Amino acid sequence: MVAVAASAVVLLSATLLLGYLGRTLRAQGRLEALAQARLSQASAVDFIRFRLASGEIPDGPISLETGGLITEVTPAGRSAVPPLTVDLSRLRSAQCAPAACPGGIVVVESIDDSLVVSLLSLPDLCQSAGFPVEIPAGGGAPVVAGFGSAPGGHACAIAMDDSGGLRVCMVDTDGSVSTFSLPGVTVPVRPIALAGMAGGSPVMLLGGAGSSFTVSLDSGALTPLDPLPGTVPVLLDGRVLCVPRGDGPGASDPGPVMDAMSGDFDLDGHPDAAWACPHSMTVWLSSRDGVLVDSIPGSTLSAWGVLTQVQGLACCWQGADGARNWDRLSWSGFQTASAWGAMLLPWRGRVEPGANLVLGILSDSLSLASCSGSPVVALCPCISVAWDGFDGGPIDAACFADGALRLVLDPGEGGGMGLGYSAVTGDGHEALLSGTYHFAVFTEQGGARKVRLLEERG
Amino acid sequence: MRRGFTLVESVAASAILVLVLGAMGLAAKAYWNGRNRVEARKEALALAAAEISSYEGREQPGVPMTASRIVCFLGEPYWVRTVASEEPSGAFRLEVGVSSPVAGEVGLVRMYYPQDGGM
Repeated sequence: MVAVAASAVVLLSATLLLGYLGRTLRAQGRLEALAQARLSQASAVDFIRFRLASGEIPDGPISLETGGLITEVTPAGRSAVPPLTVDLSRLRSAQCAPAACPGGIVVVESIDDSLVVSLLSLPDLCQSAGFPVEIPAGGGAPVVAGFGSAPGGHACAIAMDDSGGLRVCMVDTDGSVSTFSLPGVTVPVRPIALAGMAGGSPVMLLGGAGSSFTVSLDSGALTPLDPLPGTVPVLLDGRVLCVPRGDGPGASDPGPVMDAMSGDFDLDGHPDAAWACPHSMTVWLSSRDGVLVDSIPGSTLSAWGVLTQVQGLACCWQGADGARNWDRLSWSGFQTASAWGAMLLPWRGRVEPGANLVLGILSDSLSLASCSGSPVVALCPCISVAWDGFDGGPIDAACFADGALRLVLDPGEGGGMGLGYSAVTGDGHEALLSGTYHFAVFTEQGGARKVRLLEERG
Repeated sequence: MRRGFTLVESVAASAILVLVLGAMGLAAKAYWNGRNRVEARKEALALAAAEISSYEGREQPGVPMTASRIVCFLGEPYWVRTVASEEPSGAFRLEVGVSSPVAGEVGLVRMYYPQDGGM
């Protein structure tokens, strides 16, 4: 009897032990299935993203098998989304300078005694390999210029005053840094900095009141430009040019250059340049190698830029009484334009054209208006804006406001579509993993342009 | 008054004891093997997941490749095989298998699709 009782206890223990083992094995099996389910669902989301980027919008259930598990994806709603805005508020905007460069945006931050250079790819803001790069800060504020889409693998050039001289650093897209010290030289007052290729070599152009010069970023050689009073040095089409600003040597100081633009303003196929000063708007036309100047005595330049490709370059003058008048560039110079549609809105600073849209600052917001002037959509707070092709595509806007930096990507393409999908991954018997995914799709004529996964909830 | 067990009772009790101890031994061995297998499969799964992450972190993740290596972990050898191949549709298939004598085979599969929309 005792033996039977002892046996029963031992057998019960063995059964419990084996039961525990069975549960552990099943839990491990579930862990493995869950790991595969995550990959299967990620693959399915990848597939949806691919379909959206291909110009299709899946509007019915999709079933996808990966690794023995099936993911069912079903649409879960649509909504309208504004142009893609990337929040860079974690950067101290007061001390950071964005610049376009191949592969993303360069942001230079002054942190303690260093300049921290980040190369963030867009739109995901991943730090590129080799970045961030730390450079010892100089005594003065750094002046940063990006290389934009110029070839050569260069990201940006940084100039700063440093112990009785000028220090110029070139940061390449692989994170390498070349530094040149130029004793006895200082950053010009109210500097305009440009970086690009001139004669096949990388150069940094520093122009401003008092002095203008270029620094070869291959050799560190400095070339003074000695511009005449009232001229502006520009880096255009692989050449350094010293172009009259239009006000002439005898003119009173027209104030700082508020904005410099390049583009084919006379539609002759060659790049031209334009400058906006508080009291003058100047265009240098490459085909004529001459300048056209617009100014209205007693008026201040309040807005400028290309409103629409048909209207071309235009500028808006505001008189002491607040009246606003638009002039537009024609083949013979600037002429008074009759304001209509979006021209009647109180734009401030540079305006840019989009697909039947006008972009610019209205009431301290980066705004988007149709050419007819309505509707007006406020995209984000914006006190000042830097326009550039940060993501290598159409023009983007870096907006500074409230101590924060925000990037609005391709606003000229207008808004996009928000698409939600729910995904359930299972093995045919039970659901292992479910999640919802929200994409923003920005579409241009002919197909989907850009897809971004906005939200992911597992 | 009873003074002890009879021979038959003793033999029967011993037989039961032997059977129970045998079953217990088998159960303990099964538990021990099962536990080792679970631990080994956990390691194999972690290795497979790490292999996929490592492939995704490469500068050129979309390159077909076949790789095989032995990784020793806590005295246990694991055979890690990675096969990255392009599907006829243009999608990219990454298959990672990790096996060992104790763990058996643990496999993970991930599909990648071009993000620019072109295939």
